[in-house]
Amino acid sequence: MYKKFPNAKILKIDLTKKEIKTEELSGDIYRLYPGGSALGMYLAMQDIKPGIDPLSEENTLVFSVSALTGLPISGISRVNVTGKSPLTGTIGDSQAGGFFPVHLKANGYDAVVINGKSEKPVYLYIDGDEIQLKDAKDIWGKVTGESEEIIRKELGRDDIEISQIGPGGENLVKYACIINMCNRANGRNGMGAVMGSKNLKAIVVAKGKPQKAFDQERFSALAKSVGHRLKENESVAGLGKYGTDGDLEAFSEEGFLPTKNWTTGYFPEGANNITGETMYNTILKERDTCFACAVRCKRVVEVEGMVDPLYGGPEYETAATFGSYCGVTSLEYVSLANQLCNMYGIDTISCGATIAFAMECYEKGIIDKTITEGIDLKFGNEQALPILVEKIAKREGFGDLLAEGSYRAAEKLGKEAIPLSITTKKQEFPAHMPQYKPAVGLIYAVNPFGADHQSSEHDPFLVMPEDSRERTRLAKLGITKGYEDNFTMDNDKVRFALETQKYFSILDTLCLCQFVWGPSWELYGPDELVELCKSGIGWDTSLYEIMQVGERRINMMRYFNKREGFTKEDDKLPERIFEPLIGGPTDGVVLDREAHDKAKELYYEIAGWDKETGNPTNSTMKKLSLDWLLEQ
Amino acid sequence: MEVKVNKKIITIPEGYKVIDLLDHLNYGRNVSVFIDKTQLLMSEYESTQIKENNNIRIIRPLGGG
Repeated sequence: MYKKFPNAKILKIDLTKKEIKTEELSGDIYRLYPGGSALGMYLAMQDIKPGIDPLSEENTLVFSVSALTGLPISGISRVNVTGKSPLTGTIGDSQAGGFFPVHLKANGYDAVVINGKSEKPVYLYIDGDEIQLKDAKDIWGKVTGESEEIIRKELGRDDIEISQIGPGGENLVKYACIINMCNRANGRNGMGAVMGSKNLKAIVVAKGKPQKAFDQERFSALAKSVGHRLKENESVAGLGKYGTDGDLEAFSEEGFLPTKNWTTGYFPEGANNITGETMYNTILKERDTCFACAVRCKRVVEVEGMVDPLYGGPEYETAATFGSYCGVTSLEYVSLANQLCNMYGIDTISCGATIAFAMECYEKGIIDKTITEGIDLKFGNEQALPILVEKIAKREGFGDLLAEGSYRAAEKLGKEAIPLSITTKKQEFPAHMPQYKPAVGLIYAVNPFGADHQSSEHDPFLVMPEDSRERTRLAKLGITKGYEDNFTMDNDKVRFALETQKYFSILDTLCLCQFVWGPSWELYGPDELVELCKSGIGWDTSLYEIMQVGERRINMMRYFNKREGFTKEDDKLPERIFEPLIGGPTDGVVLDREAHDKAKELYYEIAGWDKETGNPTNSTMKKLSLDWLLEQ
Repeated sequence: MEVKVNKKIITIPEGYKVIDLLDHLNYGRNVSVFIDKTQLLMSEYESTQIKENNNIRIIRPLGGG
């Protein structure tokens, strides 16, 4: 009934030697690392030596999809990028949607491994077995929209998908990203800078024919249920209508919208202006989607003479980082900042958060106009946003300092500035407050690649009734305890954080969208995930096996970091999270330090990590079939 | 009749069930409801009658994104 796990086809490019080759990875190994982030880790660990400079030719950059990519069902088209991060110094890991992932797979490749550094800027062109490194001199220095146009003209075809860096990556901005469709970002960890350091401008794939399901009848039943599921699922339907930004104002009303560089959680003067409903009613031009996805959560906005719909529209994180973090109340300027980030290829979260950090430095007198080059960097100055995004991307003047990220900028500005950098492992916080979501705060601290909001489920779903979709699905992961509020941090919450982290880890491995495939509120739950694997590719698996895949990935990442010298000392939230919020309904609220510290200790223990170092023990590595790493 | 919802006193018609209150306040169904500190099951929203002076807490889960 089922079939052997497929082999993976790996395209290996050595830019220094101009070598192109393909390799097969046997299905037995692929099954342990069945795509995306886990496959990226497996491949990166073959090549990356400890202690290398992430922006040197010794780094490896892996683009990977999964054994499932291309099946015609919602939430299936994601590409993962792995390498050593220049922002955090840890392993770097980032996902993006769109159509590029499906077409990379349709060309026959599960991963592309990039090593070395090209002497001159090049782009990689993949059309089935025809692989070429092409001269990128005409597109180097161009923004993403211009590059797309030039590449299409040069190749004389429109049936291609392009994943590329902008000038931000070329100029090695520490949080440069990789963009496809001009608006889908492998946003975090500075993977765009790694690509730029290799003089690789883009990967271009010819469009191909996506794979068909193994058991068409069973798979169709799963795929076709999406209409019914959307109708029944208010959360995902709302996400489709208002985008990820739909709840921004509600966060402010609760007092937990990070505002003015996390000094307060309340933004009454601006939250309504920049929330998803306002976007929907004003500047939204259309809802866009990824391959085969019925949710259509992507925003396309237009402001005549100011914001070009080619570059999409702001997500919640972007609306928060450029909006509330900076005290900016203009949706138009937030959208313009989003556009510029997508044009120049820089992460909207780290960019907006770093500008918010600079604004607080300015308000506190740590920097003045002699440093900002005349820019009045008060919170709320919307006009500063586009100026600074451009300066950062081009590393011009003050922008050169901010291009290093808020932590390194703070180190240069002096000890007064360091507490104003809201980072863990030097990566800026996404817009979910640990004070409101302590389990998310725990994951911000221990996550191998810095603070991340998409690495575990969020606390509020445990407040839902026992018979809700959220709780019944979580119960399948062994998470049965409900809560009367979000704020409790006890042993069961730690288990919730770890088990859902494993689940999200498999989603990033199988390259599935976390809004469609998840452990609680999403369109498809754990049962359907197993069914997708079985009917989609004939993988006779179980929830147990795929949870172990998720756990394996996390441990590989943590092991990578161990080799780099990271320990539990690096798993720290910034002090501000433990200081009282100012104003609004959450005036005086803090994250309970004692509960957080206790939770971290329990997390290490139940993760099978050493309590002294916070790193995986040898027995945990062996349990997860990672002996080979210990022998390296 | 008067009830307290999320710390505010409001007036609603007699005979309201939880589901009517959610509609009245423009909530969807995907929320948590506590009446006098006891959490209801979702399956009880249609049948549970609200009484005068009930202290009601409605929580909408705010997730990721």
